[in-house]
Amino acid sequence: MRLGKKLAAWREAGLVTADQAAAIAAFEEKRGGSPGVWIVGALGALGGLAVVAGIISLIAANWSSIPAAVKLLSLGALVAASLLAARQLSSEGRTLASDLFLFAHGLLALAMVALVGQIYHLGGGPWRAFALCAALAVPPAVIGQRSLLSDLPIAYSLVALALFIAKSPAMREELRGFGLGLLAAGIGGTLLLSGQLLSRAHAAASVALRRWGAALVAAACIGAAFIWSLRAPETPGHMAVFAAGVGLAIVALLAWTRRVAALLGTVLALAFLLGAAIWTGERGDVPRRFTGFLLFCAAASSFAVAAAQSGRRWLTNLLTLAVAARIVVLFVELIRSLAMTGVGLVLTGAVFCGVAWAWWRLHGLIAPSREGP
Amino acid sequence: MNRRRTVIAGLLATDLLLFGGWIASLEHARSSARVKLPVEGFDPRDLLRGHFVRFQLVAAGEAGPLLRGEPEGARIELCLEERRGMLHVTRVRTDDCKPFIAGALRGGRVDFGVDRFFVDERIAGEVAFVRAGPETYVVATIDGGGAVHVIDLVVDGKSVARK
Repeated sequence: MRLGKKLAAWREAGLVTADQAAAIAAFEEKRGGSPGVWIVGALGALGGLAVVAGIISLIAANWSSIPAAVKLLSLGALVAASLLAARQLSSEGRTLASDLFLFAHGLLALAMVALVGQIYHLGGGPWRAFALCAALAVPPAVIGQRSLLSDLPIAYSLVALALFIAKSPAMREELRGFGLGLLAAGIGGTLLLSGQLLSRAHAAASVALRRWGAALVAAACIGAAFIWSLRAPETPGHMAVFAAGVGLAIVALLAWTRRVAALLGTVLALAFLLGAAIWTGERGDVPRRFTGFLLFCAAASSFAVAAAQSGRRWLTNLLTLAVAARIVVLFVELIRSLAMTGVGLVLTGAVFCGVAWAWWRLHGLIAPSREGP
Repeated sequence: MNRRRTVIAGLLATDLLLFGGWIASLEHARSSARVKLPVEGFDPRDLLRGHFVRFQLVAAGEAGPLLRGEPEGARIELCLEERRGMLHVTRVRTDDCKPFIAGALRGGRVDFGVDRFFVDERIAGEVAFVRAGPETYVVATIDGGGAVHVIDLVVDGKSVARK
């Protein structure tokens, strides 16, 4: 809804007076500028982007004609310039711009490694390049005030690990079946724990660690649920022990920092899933599919509640939609009849409407927090 | 803020030492005498890293019968001998024979750490249709530790190095 319509609605509801509405409109006009100013700004940004893209295209078109020494010196100068600019802006107290230059330095360092490899025809595993860049990206993450700078070393480390696994026959053997999913869940849990531990010492790094940790755990849960629905993959013991160890550490942390109810809920959920896993291992296809469905719904619902509590409405809606889609898939998997699927969906929809009504009645108990992660 | 500036200055010095030292060492390794190493398994690629050719040194095949159950990852040193203008493996290095080539045992084969050559984009299409023949070899230098540093790839007598 546009601001004018919102102000009119607020005036009708008696939330603001006519003078206050006029003052708000004048303030927003002054702050955001008129639509004409926005168009000029957008055109200017588009023009600037076009010029930069054009220069990059010209360089790329003549890349083969540029002598190796010129390429190395130019990129080396850009690497150094990004750090000098970050240092200068830091002196002036402009930390946002300084952090952006540090982020650019992290990307340019990777480009520099790739260029040296190309010019000197270096072989070997590309994971080494990412590992080196991850190490170079750690100091900026330590001094940076934005989580973007912590994203780089985490991303580089994960890519290096993935490339190393792809290259190593021993690691591939170790991660057969759902071993890779368990490793991802274990690493995700470790990142979540690290984020919790660093929350006071380095808030920006903590946010990045939690973001990547949650993404890895969510990906592993969703992947497990779908794979489990189709087949029961062989799972290597070492990775199961690793993932379970990290899971237990998270439960211990919950017990230390949160209410006992949260701990009990988590332990019960884990016990249910473990029991279901053991039970379905000895049963037929349908129980296994149903357990996979429950695992998916439990994971997605947990993340939906977490997203609601952190004030992320779009993420809450997306996860709720994922649960709804999974319900449809379950009916198609189990019933295999359009008429029965329709009946099942009507019943499920009625249950969901009831849950939504109960949730609405209890809204005061689970009001979203004002502070995002 | 002073700590932040100090860390950035330290990072700049690290970059200069790291990249400068790396490039200087590669340039130094390239400055020694050039040799020819025959190549087999010619495979043009065009991936994100630019146009490049995957190849395998004939030395890897020649080393196979000389191996005596060394463990995975073991360092292997092999003596080289010139035959018809190119260097070939003769035996496992147990004395101080020269020249020699060094690699590591990976997956039952000796990996010498050189397996790709980046080619000029303008001749990439032409290279893709060339098939490896007897006159296919890399021009390289071999440093004091037996590591190979590739300078040029010659396919059927024609250089595919960047112009």
